[in-house]
Amino acid sequence: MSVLQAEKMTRVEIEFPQKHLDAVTKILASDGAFQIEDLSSLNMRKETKFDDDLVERSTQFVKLEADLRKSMDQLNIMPTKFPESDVVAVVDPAVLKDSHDAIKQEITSLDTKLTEINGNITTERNYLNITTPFESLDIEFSSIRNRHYIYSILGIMPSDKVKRFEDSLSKIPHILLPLHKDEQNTTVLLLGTHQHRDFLLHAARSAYLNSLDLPDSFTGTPREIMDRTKANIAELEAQMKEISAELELLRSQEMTKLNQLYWQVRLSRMMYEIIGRFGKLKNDYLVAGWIPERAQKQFAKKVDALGEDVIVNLLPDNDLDENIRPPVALHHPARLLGFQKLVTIYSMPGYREIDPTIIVAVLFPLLFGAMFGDLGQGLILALGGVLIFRSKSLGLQRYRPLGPVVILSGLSAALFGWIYGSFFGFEELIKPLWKRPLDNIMEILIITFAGGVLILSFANILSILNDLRQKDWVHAFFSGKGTSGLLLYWSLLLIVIQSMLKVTIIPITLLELLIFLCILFIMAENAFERVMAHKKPIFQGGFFLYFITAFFELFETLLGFLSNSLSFVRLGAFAVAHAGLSSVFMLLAEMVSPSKGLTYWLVIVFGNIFIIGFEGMIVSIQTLRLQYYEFFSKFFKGGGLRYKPLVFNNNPKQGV
Amino acid sequence: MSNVSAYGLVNVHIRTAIGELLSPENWTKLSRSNDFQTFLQNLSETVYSPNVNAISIENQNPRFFAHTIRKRIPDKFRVIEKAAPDTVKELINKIFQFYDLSNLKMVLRGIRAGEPWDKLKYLLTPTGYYPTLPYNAMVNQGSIEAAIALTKGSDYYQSLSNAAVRFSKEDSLFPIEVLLDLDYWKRVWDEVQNLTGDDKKDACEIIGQNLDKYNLIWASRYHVFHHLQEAEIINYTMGFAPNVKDKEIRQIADGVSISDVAERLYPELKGKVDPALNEADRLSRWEVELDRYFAKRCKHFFIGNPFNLGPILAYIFLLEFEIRDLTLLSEAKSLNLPKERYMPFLIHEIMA
Repeated sequence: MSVLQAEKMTRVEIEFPQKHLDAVTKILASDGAFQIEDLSSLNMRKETKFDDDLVERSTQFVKLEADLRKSMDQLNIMPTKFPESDVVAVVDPAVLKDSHDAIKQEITSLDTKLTEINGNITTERNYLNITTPFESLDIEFSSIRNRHYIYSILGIMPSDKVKRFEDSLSKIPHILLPLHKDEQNTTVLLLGTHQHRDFLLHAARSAYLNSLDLPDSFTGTPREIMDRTKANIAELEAQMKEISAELELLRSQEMTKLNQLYWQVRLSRMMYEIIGRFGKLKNDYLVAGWIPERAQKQFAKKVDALGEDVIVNLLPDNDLDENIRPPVALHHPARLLGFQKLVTIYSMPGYREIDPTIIVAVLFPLLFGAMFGDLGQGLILALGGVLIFRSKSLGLQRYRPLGPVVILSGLSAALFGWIYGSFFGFEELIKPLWKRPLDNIMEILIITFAGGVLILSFANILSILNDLRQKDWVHAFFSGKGTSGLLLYWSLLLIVIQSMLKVTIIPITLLELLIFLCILFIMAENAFERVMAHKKPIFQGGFFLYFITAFFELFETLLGFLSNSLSFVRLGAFAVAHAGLSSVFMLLAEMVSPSKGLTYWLVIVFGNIFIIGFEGMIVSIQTLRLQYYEFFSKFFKGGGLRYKPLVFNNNPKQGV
Repeated sequence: MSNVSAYGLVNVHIRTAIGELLSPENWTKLSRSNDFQTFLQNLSETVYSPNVNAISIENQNPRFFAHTIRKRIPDKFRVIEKAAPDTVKELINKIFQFYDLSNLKMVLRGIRAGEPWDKLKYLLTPTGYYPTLPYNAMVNQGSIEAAIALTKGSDYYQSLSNAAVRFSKEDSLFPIEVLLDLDYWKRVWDEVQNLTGDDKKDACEIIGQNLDKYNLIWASRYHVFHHLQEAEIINYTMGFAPNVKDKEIRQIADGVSISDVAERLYPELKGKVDPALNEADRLSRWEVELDRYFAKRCKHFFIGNPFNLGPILAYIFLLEFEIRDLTLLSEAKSLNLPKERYMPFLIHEIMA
């Protein structure tokens, strides 16, 4: 497997009769390498009873799974991790349902009693909430709710709606008494006149005020009612304790069995969901999907072993139509995952495209180092990267893939620091391998411009290679990002270099001819494409419109050459800025402590920390920008489909 | 300075995403499509190409089309949320819940109507990476009460439980849907209040405009179609909206036209809706005008300092408007409606 391309995929099509349905499904599900396509829309059958039965079974498994989860929730049992070894999918949901029903009945009976008791406790507590504000009144409670002159509603409403409800009643005389409030709900007593009865009823309903019906036993003074209510609550709580103990016993007895059942049901449900994606031919089933080339032999062997009536068609990727997009599986070692992430954040590489991960692994640190050149600061960054990569802390685990990115960037920065002669901002401590940026600004800018030309040319070559791989000959040779564009770019550069240096490397006439030809080819690219595709008319929209469009596209290409090339000058600019920032801190340190005492070194340390953090972040952003905008845009189209093989997921919240 | 680092990466994504939004030329071309097939073909020349190409011939209908293009929403949200600073991730998640909430309401309606899951699922917005409710299991329960029980532990359970009493008495989903909406926007607004600085300012403006729009539309609908009294309309609207407050809601409840209230709040929209239309038609036109106004306001957030929350939220809403208009156009083209029938309802103003 090449590091520059996605893993080769083979398209698999399997046609098989109904009798092999379960066996094929089990192979697909357990193989772990097969990515299935959804062919459920293909249905050539008139007789649908069998398939309707499958859908019915799938639905039954879904229901059964929901039921099981409910039982487990009621017993406070969390599903365990997927027990790989001893769980087997079953065909008939009734088999598992019977096993579950016995436990379910017991749970339901206890749970119903518990729910009833809880409900009664809640009701009693509501009564307590209603009467507590009136505790000190030594009168019959019913007289508080005298319905003769006053219309009242006693009820419970969402706490966050109380204020709005109050506002909605502002136009009529009323009293809204909150009797008891908790986070969710407030018990209120609303008093108004009978004249506004309808208004109050509608308003209360719209505020989700659910009225409480008081029982006949709600007689006596508030204190008497409260005492009775508290005694009821105590008795109910004792009953609840007994039932909870029974539930706990049931939980410990049935935990293992329920988990086993749960995973069997879940596995079976997933199997039927897979079957749901099969296409239905007149008599057979059709499955289509993708498998890595390395796994195809073993997979085909397993499927072939089922019988001669199972037809397996393996189509290698080069036999497929160019419009078919195989999924993309990138396999990079752990140390390159961070760079892979930098690529996939932009886009997933197309299947037939060059995977630029390894290129990014070289280019990103190179660009970063060029802008951040400092030996000491680079080594600190590299050390930071090592800590991130090797950290066992949960908080840093998610950043682990970035560790190698930081390490390599740090090492590159250290190397460039040595080249520039900078060590923790000190420019005199080490001799530069080459030159100091601050002393050779123009030279650095010119060299980074030249570096940019090389990188852009490389990107252009990658674009040509991608086009050749995808057999897009026209684009490879005639487009602004193809051979014509590359030759045009180099020709223009050569003319400029030759005129500046007053040398002749290639005769001007030849270069001018080359430029003319390249411009012609670039402008004619769309026409060539249409000719190759046998489309008419060749000049879409008429020759004049075609010419204008092509002209402006060429203009855009030429502008792009200039702007993209100049963009790399920032490498030099940031190298100079880095040195400049370091020297500012040196100056500050000397101002603070000319004798280079403790404060001097404190300023130096703080300055380095600030530069590593602040400038490190800015340089990373600039590197990403150069990577994405100047480099990737030249050759990287992306849009690949991520490879997602069928695996039975351990997470109970997610499906296949 | 800290905003530059916090918003640097997500800003790159937003700028790319903005570039992917359909241009006026795209909209004109789509609108001029003769039929649904041509519409799909024209759309396949845009950034929606992978979505359109994924639709098989048997599934080339507006319902499946809408479901397919809506897959862009969770994908874009996920990219943005991953790159966004931690301080705003929760708000972005809450805004995505809008689609989960729409799905929930659709599922409840489907349960009421006895629709099977196979038909219902294509009406839902795909949620991709984001956790969602067990909609399949809810539909299989067959009853609203049993479906509500399966939402326990979610943000919606409390609202559903509170409204369930009314549902069982009135046998109508209206109280459930209203309470779900009110409680949802309250959660979003509370999250906005947790922000600070420019992030809070931008979020207040963008989300606040939404709240104002909903208050205006809901109040008018309750008055015009449901003939509710003032207190009910107050309770069914949001008291925390920044500009459309109880004063405006009471005016609408008293019979003042939505045009009068909206034109006073948004003078730029004066005369946009024909006063000769009846109140019901005026209301539907105002919905569109307010969305158009909101879309224009969103575009202003891409001018100036890009390193804050404004461009993120603005893009999210512009994406929603784009998807909505594509859905409307697809339906119009499949029914071969003349442009006069559908143009007034498009948020994007298209050259004829």
